[in-house]
Amino acid sequence: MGTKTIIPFGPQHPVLPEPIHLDLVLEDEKVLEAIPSIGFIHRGLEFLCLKKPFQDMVYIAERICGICSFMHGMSASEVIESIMKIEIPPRASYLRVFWSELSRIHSHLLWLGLAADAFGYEALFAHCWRVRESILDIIEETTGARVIFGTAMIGGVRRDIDRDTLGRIKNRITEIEESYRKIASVFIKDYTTRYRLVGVGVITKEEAYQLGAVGPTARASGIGQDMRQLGYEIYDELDFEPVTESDGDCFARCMVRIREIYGSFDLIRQVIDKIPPGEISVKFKGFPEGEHFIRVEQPRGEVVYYARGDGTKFLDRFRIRTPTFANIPPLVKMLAGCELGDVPVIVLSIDPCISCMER
Amino acid sequence: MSGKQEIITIEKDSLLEQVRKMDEDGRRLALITCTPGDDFQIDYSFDLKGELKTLRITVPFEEAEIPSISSIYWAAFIYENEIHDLFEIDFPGLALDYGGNFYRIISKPPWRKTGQESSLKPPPGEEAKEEEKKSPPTPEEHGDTGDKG
Repeated sequence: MGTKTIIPFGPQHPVLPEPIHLDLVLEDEKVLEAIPSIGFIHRGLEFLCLKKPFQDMVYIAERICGICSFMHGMSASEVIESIMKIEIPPRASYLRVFWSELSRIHSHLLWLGLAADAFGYEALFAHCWRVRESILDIIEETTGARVIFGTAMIGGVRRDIDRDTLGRIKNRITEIEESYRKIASVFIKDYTTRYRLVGVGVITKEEAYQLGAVGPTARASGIGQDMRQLGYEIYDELDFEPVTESDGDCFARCMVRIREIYGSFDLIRQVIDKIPPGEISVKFKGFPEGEHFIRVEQPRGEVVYYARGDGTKFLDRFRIRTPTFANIPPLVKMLAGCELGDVPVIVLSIDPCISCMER
Repeated sequence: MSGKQEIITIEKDSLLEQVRKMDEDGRRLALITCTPGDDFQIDYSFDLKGELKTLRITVPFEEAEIPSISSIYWAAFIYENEIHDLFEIDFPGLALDYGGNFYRIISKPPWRKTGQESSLKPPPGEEAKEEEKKSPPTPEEHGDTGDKG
């Protein structure tokens, strides 16, 4: 029996994309236990939201994350709309889904690039980010921004997209999908990719469910759980199926994201085909009184927003549980028993966003 | 549309029994939320096929101690450590207890019960906002109506 060694891993490490700290308990090169700790980028945003009028909460929520910023702003708007029973116009819902799915594509492409870089494919990394750049161009064209869109607001959205632009975007989406297809085939077929990912960081369906896994991490273990099935916004009017894989390893998590990008391309086309004319926002009066939970499927999985208002300008409580937070217990399980060299790939496979997680 | 949701208020003493029932029903632990007010209010939310059921308990500030549910839902350790570090609530029986080192933050979290009264009030200069609380909002406060261009 070898000597136990504890290696501190992170928060700054060449192979870690995000500032999480792991104490890795090793016996030779085998990880016996991984103990995570956080707090390096905690900004106290939940508390800040209580100090600002409730309308400003949307701006703060958008700044929780630089990748799924729009979906945070949308979720913050939704939770207030639910409490205040504000019905937003159908066109606004379609536009929210349009930007949400663009966010999902660019988030997954960002992850695929980082994954390629992690196993040494720098050219593949560059190609993933080249395609992602085209998606960011569409976002910039339709919102005026590339990271913080600023289009979500309580009562609807702040910007509309005209018919000609939507038609043009539909054609561009088809071209981008063709470029993406070539990249995706490398991930799917390449021997080295499979060698690096297959059978690494396995978590079974039962374990994933019991440990509260969400998003691609859960779906890669065969759990068909996707919050879009709840039918928020206009997802109940669109045709889509959650993407699942059954192996529960890093390769399965990679495959889920690859297939979800195709699903998002399809959803964007459906939105462009079905978007009705009309207003994009409604005015509202009063202050939030009551409480509500909202759940939205972000690229990394289910995010939960909870807000409680007492009928004044300031909320009583504003709570966000982000997908990375829920995926940490499954990550701890995946790391136990793995090889030290696999730790970076396994950590990356849950697509951690510590900025989201710490808020 | 956010799925069916239900909040059930229970006694602290029956927490473990109720959580065990959630586990037996096959529910997934979705989140644990702590809300400070006159007392601490802790919400345990469980999901089953899109339906969210929340168990709510209330504990007074001076007796901020709740039995850990991590023996039933191991993943609860992450929520309970977070609540411990931010709100100073103790969870006896925690499966993985960081002893206050889960959140490695330098400054004291404003949520903590110590100095609770002062920290939850708006800072000096914000009293005016408190006064405005009940005043009707202006159209600007409700945001613009959208740039349709």
